[in-house]
Amino acid sequence: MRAGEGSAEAVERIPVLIKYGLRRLMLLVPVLFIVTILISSLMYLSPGDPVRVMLGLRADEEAVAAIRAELGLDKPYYIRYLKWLGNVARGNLGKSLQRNEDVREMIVERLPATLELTVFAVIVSILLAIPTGVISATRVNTFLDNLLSFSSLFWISMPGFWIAIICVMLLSMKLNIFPISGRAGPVWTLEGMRYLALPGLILGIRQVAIISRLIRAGMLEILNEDYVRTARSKGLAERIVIYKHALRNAMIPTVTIFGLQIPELLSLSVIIETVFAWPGTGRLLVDAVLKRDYTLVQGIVLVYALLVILMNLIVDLLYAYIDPRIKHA
Amino acid sequence: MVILVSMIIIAGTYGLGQAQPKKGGTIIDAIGTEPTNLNPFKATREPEMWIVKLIFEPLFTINPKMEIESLLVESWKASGDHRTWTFVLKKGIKFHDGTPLNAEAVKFSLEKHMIGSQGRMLKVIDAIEAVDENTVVLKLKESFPILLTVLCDHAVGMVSPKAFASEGWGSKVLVGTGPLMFKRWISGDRVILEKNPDYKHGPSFITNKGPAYVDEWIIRFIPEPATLIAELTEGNVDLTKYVTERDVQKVKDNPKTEVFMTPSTSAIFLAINCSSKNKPFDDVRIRRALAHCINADVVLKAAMSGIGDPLYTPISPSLMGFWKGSETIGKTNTKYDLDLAKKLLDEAGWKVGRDGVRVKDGQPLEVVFLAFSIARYKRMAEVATPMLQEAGFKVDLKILEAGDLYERVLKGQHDLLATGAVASKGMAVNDLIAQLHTSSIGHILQWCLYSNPEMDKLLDKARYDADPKVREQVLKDAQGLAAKEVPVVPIANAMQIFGYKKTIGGTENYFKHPWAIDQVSTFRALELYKK
Repeated sequence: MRAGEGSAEAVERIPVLIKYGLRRLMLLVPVLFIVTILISSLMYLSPGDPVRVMLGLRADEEAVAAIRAELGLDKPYYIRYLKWLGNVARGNLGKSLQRNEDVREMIVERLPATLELTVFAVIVSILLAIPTGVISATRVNTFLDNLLSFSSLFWISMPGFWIAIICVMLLSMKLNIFPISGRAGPVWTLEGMRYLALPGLILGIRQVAIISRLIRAGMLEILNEDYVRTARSKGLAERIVIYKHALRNAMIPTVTIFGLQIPELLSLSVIIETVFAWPGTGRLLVDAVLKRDYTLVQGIVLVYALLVILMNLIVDLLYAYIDPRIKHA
Repeated sequence: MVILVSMIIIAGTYGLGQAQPKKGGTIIDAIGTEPTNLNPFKATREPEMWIVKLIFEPLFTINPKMEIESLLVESWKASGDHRTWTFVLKKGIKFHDGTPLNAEAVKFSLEKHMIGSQGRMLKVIDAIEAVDENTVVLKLKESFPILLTVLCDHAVGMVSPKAFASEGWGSKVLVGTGPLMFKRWISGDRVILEKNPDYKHGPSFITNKGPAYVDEWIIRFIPEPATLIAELTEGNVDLTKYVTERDVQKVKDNPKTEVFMTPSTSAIFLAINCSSKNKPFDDVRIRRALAHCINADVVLKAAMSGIGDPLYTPISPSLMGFWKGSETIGKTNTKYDLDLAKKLLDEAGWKVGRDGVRVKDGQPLEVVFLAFSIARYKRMAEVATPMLQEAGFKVDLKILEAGDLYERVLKGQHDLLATGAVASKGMAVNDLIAQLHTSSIGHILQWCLYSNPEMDKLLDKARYDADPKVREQVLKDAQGLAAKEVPVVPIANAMQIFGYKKTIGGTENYFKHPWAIDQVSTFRALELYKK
């Protein structure tokens, strides 16, 4: 059986997938627990005093000691960790050491900007990667294929930071097509979309290159299969052969790789957020690490870990849905 | 009658011909990093102070002639022994929440500052009394004739006690008496301030006593320097003090923007760990050798694009009370002279070994060289390292971020540190105390871990002696001693660089004060407007 056949059977498999999904969700808690231990240990054990960083050059030892006691930083780190963990279990991520603000509120304020950026990048990458991958595979070794291949290699090889700066200079400063930096509001507004377009495109361009290469490779293999030859000889339209039969099978490894790219998208978003002064959680996390804001780092990493785990679960379920040969016992 | 009418017509025409500052609009300011907090009792870093100083004001300020001038105080007097100070506040000044600036508010603010990040400077205060609605009395632990130099620091701003008690103080609620009021802080993006319509008490040297011309002042956070410059030259940012030395020419060449540069109060140097436990750098010959083998002009060119003034002492020549004579002494002891450096090392018994590294009693002449990961200091250290190696030092260079570096420096785990006196309060006496007084050891600005009873005695006298002529003389002596002792390898006096669009007016008035972009940056809110 090939993927795409027997849609009735696919529907029958949904309860199995739900059971699989619930089992995976139960693993969420121990995985997050291990992640928090690792990140907390790294933070507490790394050199640097958050109070010194907060108060800077002119603070004397008394002021430092007073604030250290006020923030509970004079207690052993495992006591601080356990207290934080207890609060997390009650839905409280604590207060930022530096800003004295609720960590959950700080994340809620900044996370939408990062999600906008990454979701836009994902949509752009899918919309551009699929047609370019298909075109490359169906016009193999032509000028167009070579051009698209070169372009993919270029975007994969170039550092994101450099691409971002060049695009700002060219597209924003010289040609005035996009604004230079900042965020102007929610994505469903015209202004919001204008400001999101360039950083979102640059974040997604590397994914376009990777995914289109994968689709091309997959399609090239599948287009030579017997069943595709049979479908053509039966007189099916080329469009149906390519998109309904070949592409769906070529997407299987692509979906897998896509799941692995999600953490990379989140980490790349830090660079894009910095270049474009985009107010997301990526930059917030980097600032928090540099300022030794333990509670804020723990909170953001926890949320990121949760997002990555959930996204990978969705990818796994999608993978199983696309390919009925995958059995989640 | 004809003459009178003519005079009236001429005066009117002159008035019409003069460009009147335009009222209204929004100025967009930009800084390179988001503040950690805007609580004046905790804020210390430059991005924070750039905003805090617009909202909060101290009791006094400094005028362009480097004289202390009243800002919130009507009159003041000190007792003969300088231990009791009485201040009568100006009437009618209100905080942004409508509560009056009164004696209780001043008492509250100073007491909070005493246990906050500025506490060290206010340690001399023993008790504060609100005698009546507008009179505050400060009782000091000892005679302190230069108290006003502490009270004119724009970091010691007055705070509304009512606002302090409310939820969100420091990030959502910030209430002072300044020309701008806090409106909103959008995390990761900007702080929005609006005009204080009741502000009318600008100091004498400011053209516009208040309120501010613009309705709104926005400070955007743009961490990438290339993006910040792009926004200044082609985007929506109107002004910034975060133009790096490397970008000065770009901003100058752009037809829409201008650059203003003025010497800052920040001395940039390589601090030497002079602690008696840190052999051999407790030996002044070794410190002079270090200084003589560093070509400061080359380091300045590499690290700061050559933009900076010469420096020969541990403190900036722009400080109040700086003695020019110390520069002559400093120049003799720190000028680039590799042969002299080698001679001093030979005299101290450090002979060149087979691998080019100097050795004494079997020990190599090692330098643990730390630098902040900030581009300027990193570059300084990278360029200075081969110069040290040429003289026979074995260099262990470590580039570290602030948290790690502070910890190592406080523990004295460095021999040399690329840094500067970047948190200067503008006073030679206070900067010298912070850097070279024994009581400052353990305090992060005492990079040099320097301790000398003679220096302590001079600096104590410079602070506490009742006679201003004696204070002036001993301060000169302290500066002369600092120049002889070479606790730092001076590199340059940094420049304050201010980039702005030509559509910004009022700059000619704003730039009159030598500290306009630094210690008294508050008043940009009053002078600047959109043309």
